[in-house]
Amino acid sequence: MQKIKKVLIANRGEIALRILRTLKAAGIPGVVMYHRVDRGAPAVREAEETYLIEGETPVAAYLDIENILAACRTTGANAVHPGYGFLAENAPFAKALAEADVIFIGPTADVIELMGDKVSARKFVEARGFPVAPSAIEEDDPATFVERVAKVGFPVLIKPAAGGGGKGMRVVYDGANLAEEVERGRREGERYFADGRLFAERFIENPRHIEVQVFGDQHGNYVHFWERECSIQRRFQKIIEETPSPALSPEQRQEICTAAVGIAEAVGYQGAGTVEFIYAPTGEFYFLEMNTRLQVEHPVTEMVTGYDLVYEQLRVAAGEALNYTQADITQTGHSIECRICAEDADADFAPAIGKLLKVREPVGPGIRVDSGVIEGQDVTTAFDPMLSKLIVYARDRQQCITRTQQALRDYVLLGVTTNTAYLDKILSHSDFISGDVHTGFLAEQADVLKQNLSQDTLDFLLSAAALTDEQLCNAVAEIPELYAAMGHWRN
Amino acid sequence: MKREFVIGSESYDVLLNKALGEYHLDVGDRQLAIQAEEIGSGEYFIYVDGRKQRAFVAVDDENTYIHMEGKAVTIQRIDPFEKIMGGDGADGSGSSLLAPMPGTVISVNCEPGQQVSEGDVLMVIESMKLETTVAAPREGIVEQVNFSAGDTFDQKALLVSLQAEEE
Repeated sequence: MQKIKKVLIANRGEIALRILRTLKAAGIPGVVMYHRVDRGAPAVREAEETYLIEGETPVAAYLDIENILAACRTTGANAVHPGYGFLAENAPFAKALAEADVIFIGPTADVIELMGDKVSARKFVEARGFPVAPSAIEEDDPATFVERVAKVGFPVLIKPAAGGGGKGMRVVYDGANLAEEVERGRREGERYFADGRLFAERFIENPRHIEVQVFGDQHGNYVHFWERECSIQRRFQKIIEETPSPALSPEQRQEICTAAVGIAEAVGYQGAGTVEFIYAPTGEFYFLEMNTRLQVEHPVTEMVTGYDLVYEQLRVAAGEALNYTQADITQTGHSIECRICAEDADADFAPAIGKLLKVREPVGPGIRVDSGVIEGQDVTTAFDPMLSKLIVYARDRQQCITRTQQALRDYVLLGVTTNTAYLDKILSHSDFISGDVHTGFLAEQADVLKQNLSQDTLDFLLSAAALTDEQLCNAVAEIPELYAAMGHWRN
Repeated sequence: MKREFVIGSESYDVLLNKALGEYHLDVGDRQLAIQAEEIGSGEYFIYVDGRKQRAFVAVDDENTYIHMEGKAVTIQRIDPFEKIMGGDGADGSGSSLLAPMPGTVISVNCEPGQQVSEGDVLMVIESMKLETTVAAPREGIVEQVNFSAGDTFDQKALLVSLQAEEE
């Protein structure tokens, strides 16, 4: 690891802290860059060295390549870990770092460019014999796009070619409003990604989202770290992930993981990557996309394999060869991750804001909390609503579910509405427990997943609210006891 | 002393009494004997008719946040007296469409004075990177349109209002 002298963490929130922890344990100096709205964040507090960045908006500050190059020059960092989101899958960024002689902890710019674009990635994968779903690509012939989309068959999923994270995606169930929906998708693509090109593919009803963690080094070695099941999604974004997938037989698991390593090898992938597949109820799977970065949900893989994936990323970036083979990577036990988000699940997942007045993280056997917030911090809409991740490990899935539920119930976050009770509800659902879910599960079960308060709970809540209301208690205390008692008798 | 507590879309009128050193809470037609014991910073045992629950409580100017029985609930506190003085109650039968969260206006599909039917799209907005339509909640005449395409707005901003219905 001698090549890496100092690492700049070009991210924020829980992932900045998670990366910093690995750097500290490895004895590599780390620098946390931050916008002033994040000055109270845990990663900024825990870092030995920090670097203040500016921008028109907080998000713009983290997306500014010049900011990061300047941070490297000032601090002497010779490597950058991009985390996920922001510039993690930005090829010009990887190129700019290479030109400045700074190591990008991730794949090469060429691979990001090839796999980051859904259209080129799919063509590449399809040409090498890996399975893909029926589709239509706008730029093949824009004039006939709507017509070709109709031919893919309904329902059809339309998404920006340059997109990710569910932004701008729409499902169209029949041909009636197709042209209009295509136009809308194009506008959203232009707005979010400055790229209106679209891509459409057959929407597989009740599919599961299963992905495989892959790794490659600079010496031609490729391995996988098994799969993750990420079918529990709201608005196309994952909120619960687990491994192993309850849907796969050992043969299917082997098949999907082998396909993923094959794809990593075909592109000459370096570092940590994820190959995402759509898994049909009938057992077929199709390549969806490749994420050329560390995923939000990587910790579940770490829990069942015992590897620190950030550490492995550092080794690969430093030019070292993988010092293990596929046979060394075993999957033991079960792990579930819940994304704790500042949002109101009962109000269509509206983002919530406020000050975190009280935070108390769960503890116990097999419990890991990767958090980006601490008590006293303000939660704003400046960034993604994810506050932290609860990752739980147990010997088997059943124990893992109940352990996760208890941890969610023990997780105190007051002052900002979060989804912990909603996540608990999902984990209690009989279909989740039996593993019978798909990516539309949350939308389909929305009514069942709503919160309700029993009369008994309500009595306790109103009592707690009344007795901790200083103004109310003081006003009550002023009434002479004799009259109050009389009033009471009159009831 | 009265309080109105609001949980989600439900509102509860309660009356707190203290008699002979004990607190009583009137909820609807029931009276509960209640007590709180602070066992740590923001951590309590709450007793209701002799039964006990552990609670974490945090309070700000507007709300009380309680974590109890494994989940957090936000309770808005309303002083009935302030509510009357604030005049924030009856606003006629006009309809105000407020922004559910901060965002950007994508398009404005109506203008003041226009007759609209229930369900008509009045505006298309984008919040949290998703397009949402603002539809007319009833038939009526558009009174105000406060934003143009491209404008940004805050949570609870008045986007569009309909004229009050005539009786």
